[in-house]
This record gives sequence, C-alpha cells and structure tokens, in this order.
Amino acid sequence: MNKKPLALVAAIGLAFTLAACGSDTSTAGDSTATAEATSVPTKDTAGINELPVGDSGPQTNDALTIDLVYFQAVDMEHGSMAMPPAAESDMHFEVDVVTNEKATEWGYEPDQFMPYLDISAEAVNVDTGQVTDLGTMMPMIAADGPHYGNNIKLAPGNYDVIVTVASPADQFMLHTGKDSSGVQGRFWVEPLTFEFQNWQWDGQLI
Amino acid sequence: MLKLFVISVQSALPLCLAVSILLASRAYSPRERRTLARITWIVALTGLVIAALIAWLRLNTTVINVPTFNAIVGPVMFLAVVVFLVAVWIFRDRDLHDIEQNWHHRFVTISALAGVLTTSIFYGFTYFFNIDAIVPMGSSLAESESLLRLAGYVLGTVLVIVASWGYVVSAARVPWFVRTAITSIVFIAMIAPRAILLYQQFATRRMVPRSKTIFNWVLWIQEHEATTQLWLAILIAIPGIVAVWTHPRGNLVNPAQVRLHKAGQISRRKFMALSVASGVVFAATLTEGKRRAEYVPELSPLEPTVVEGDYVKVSRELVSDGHLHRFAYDTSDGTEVRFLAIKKNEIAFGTGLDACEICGPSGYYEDKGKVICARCGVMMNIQTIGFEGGCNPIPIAYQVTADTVDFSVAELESHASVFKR
Repeated sequence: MNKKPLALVAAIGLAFTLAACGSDTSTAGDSTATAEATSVPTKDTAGINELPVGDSGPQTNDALTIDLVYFQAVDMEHGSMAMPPAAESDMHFEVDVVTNEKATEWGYEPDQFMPYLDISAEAVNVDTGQVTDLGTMMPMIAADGPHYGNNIKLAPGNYDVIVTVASPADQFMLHTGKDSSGVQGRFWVEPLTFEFQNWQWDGQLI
Repeated sequence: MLKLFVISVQSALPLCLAVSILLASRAYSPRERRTLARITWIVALTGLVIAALIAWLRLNTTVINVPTFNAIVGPVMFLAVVVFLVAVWIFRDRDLHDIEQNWHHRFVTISALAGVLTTSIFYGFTYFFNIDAIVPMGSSLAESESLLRLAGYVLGTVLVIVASWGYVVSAARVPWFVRTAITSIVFIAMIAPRAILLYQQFATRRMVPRSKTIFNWVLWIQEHEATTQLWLAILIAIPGIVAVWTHPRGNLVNPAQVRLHKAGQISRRKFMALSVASGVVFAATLTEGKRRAEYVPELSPLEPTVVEGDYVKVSRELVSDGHLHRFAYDTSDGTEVRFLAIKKNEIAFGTGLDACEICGPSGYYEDKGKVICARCGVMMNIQTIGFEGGCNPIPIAYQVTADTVDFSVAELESHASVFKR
C-alpha cells in the first residue's frame, strides 16, 4: 500500500493543528527533524520567519562561527545607491557571523559580530553540479542587529552552500608590541570556508 | 509592463479559474437568481477583502506570518474544494435551475460558495501581495514607469476576468459531463500541487518530515507552473467551443423560437471566438510573453581601447552618445579587467568597473535607457554611476582630453582581483 498520500494528508492535518495553535515549532514523532529543529531553530524576527539554510546548523572554522538563514526578500537602502530590490529577488540571504573563543587570541570578544569581513557565497546544485555565485554578502543592520547578507536570485533546487571569508588582515591593524596592549594571535591567512549542506530551496517565500 | 502583465496573469489565473468554476456550478431556481447573486457577491467580496487586508497587513505590519496563514487557510480550502467536487459528482446531470430545488442543489450551491470564500482568500492573497511589485523600490506610483507597470497588471487581470466570464457563460451551455470533467481536472490540477507545496513549506519549517521525493515533486511543480496554467487556461476555453455544437435541438414551432434560436447561436459563436482568442492570448502570454519578460539581454560587446603610457584611452566621441560602453584592459598577470563609461551630462562621465562590490564581475547592460546589473537586476541611477556603494559599478577615476577619456593603467591593474572570482 502506498503510504505517501496518507502521510501527506496526515501531515497537513498535523500542520494545520499546529498552525491553529499559533506556533511555528517542531513536532514530536520525527526524530531527525526534531533533532534538527532543536539544533537549528527557526527564528521569528519582526514578523519574518527566518529559515535555516540546509541542515548542517552553525559551522565553526578558526575564530568564526557562521549560521545561514533565509527569508523573504526585504527592501534595503545604502545611502542613495541602488540595492537589489525585494520585488526583483527570490529571497533575503543572511550570514550571521559571530566570533568564538579563538578570537580572544587577537583581542576580540567572543560571541560578537565582526565587521569589515569580505564574505562571499556560492550555491552548488547537488543534482546538476551547477554552481551559482551568490555574490558578496554586504554588512547591514536589521531589527535584530548587524549581519551580512543580500537579496539574491536563485532557482529552486537542492543545494550545498559554501561561504568564504577572506582574512581581515588588511582591514584591521593589530597591536603587536611587547607591551600589555599587544595580542598574541594573528588573523587567519587563507580564506576560511564554511559548508552548509542539504538546502532544499523550494522557491516558496512571500 | 510585460513583466507585470505576466505576473498579473499568473496571479489572477488560479483565483479567477477557481471562482469562475465555482460560480458556474451554483444551483438555483429562477426565482432565487437575484438572491443568490447577492449572496455570491457578498461571499466573493468578503473573501477578496480579507485577502487584500491580509496582504496589506503582511506588507505593512509584522502581524501576518505567511506560513501560518497558509497552514490555516490552505487545508480549509482543500477541504471546501473536495466537498464541492463530491457535491458536483453527486449532482451529476440534474438541472441546476430546476424550479424545485432539493438537497442535491443546496449541497452543490453551499459547497460552491464555501469554495468561493476560501479560494478568494487563499489565491487572492497572492494576487494582492504581488500588487506591491508595481511600484519599483525608490519610485512612486505617479512616475511613468510605475504607471506602465500598473497598466500591465490591470490588463493581465482584465484578460483573466474576461476569459473566466466566458467560461461561466459557456459552462451552462455544455453537457454536464463536460462541465464536471473540466471542473474536476482544473481543481485537481490546482489543488494537488498546492497541497504538495504546502507540505514542503511545513517540512522546511521542520513541522513534518522532509522527503526527497516530495521535494523533487516540488521542483517539478515549480518548473512546470506556467505550462500547467497554460493547459488549465486552454481547458476552460473548451466549453466556449463545444457550446456551438450543443445548442438545443428540436422543431421550432413559431417565429419567436426561431429568433431565440438564432440569437442563441450568435451568442454561442461570439463566446467561441472569445474562448479561442483568450486561449491564444494565454498561450502567447505564458510562453513567449513569459520568456520575454524574464529575458536578460546579452552584455554589449567590448569596445576598442588604446594603451598609451600610463593610460588606457577610449574615444571621447564614442562615449558621448549617452549610452553605456564597455571596455577591457588586460593586466600584467593576464586578467581581463572590464570597465565602463557613460556620459552623464555635458561635462561629466560615469565611469567604473564592469563589476560591483555585491555582485562581483557579473557586468552591466543597457536596456531601454537604463543601466542594469546583469545578476541582480538593479536599475542604476545613471547620475550615481561613479559613486561608491550599493550595486553601483566600483568607481574608477578618469580624465578627459579633447579627444579621449583616459583611465589609469595602475588603477585598473589594482582591480585585477575583482575579476579573478
């Protein structure tokens, strides 16, 4: 007996029940999804439902921990300059960057947003192998604070996303003297990469 | 304009298809016609007003969460439509306008009205939400670009409404099985994909298990949305064509019946023409129209430059025509650094790399007097080209001589990394 139609009906009924409760939370009964939902919760910010990119959860490399979320495209401004308008974009792609304990080696607080980073991202369609350059993620501030991101266009598909963060060595000076203000550590040299896998981008955001 | 026309057609089609099919299936006795018409108007307007209100709230406030909206309205609509389809098949070939209306008639009418209400809210939301795309960011409705886009949206809506009206009229003139078959096919073709898309929305939010199979269905549905809509639009044109051959037959016993028969035939032929015409326009809109609306022009060819000493020189006359011109310089490490120039006024040029900080070296093209980023589609304010920020071309300096506009070799060399991505 084909169980898919039954599963579909049951799932919709379940979802309806959950939605009627006014929440957007995870459910019991699906161990994988529940585990993912626990580790990668979706966030409601200013009426916007942020969704995780893939099921990898936040990724750490060197002194940075990066999380990717996406939601419906939003209008932005950058002085009088033109920005990708929401109406012409498929989504707003957000890169949340925070420092970790390793950043204390060069005098930076952990769990802080880090400015002046050159962050780019590309999406690899795992079915076709096609690589889409998502461009440079720009620093910006939303109601929930600063982040990097942009409005982007991307065809629906099953993607792995690779985020690359260049060394900020040309953006920050470091105190390197022997005095008490000097730092022991140095910035990373080669660009850091972070991979987020199994992103089912279904093209459905309003 | 074309883009908004296509968006309008694609947004209004599911809404109008559903509503017109439901309207064509209401049962009422002749003496109830006005009453039911009033009830239908109230129900449909209520649904549309709710949809418009939710779309407005979503666009202007933080109180509407679209997945929650879909989760509540979607299943209710699916249920209403399923009940309606059951009612239609139970009703079978009974006369919709019997003097004596029984429970079969009431069942089909009430379920149709429930369907009108729920589909108006569900599909109406998308339609009203897309109205937001009429006015480009940073523009106003009073500007000519916005007015053209508005005209496109209105025209698309009018086309769909006219075609749907043709269906409502013609559906009453065809055998019940034609009407019921079309009703069933259209609703199943509309609702089943919607249910799958809705499941995926929940799966994305980890509310239900994710499924690779269902996600592949989602991709197929997304990819074939326009084709599916085209077939549905053609399907609702069928009653208009079939109705020409399904006119009442029998002896016409007096001149009044003859005149009535002739008038009926003329009307059927007109609606056949309407159905064929709307089918052709839908076909053109959802194929060639959609292709053109989404077409991204090729980047213009690179134009000649001359390297003299420390400068790359381009013809001043060439770049003084008010159009975008693209050039390239090969750096010492073999990287092709592209740059552009456009005349802004009598004394100034807008110059920059054929790349921006956001989208990288994707390039710019000129379309209808606008300079547009090939990747993100941002329309540049030409007067800001040469200034840093946003999706503007990364600015580069220039100097003007009597015959040339000159660019520094050293500066172009310094930007090689931008084009190595």
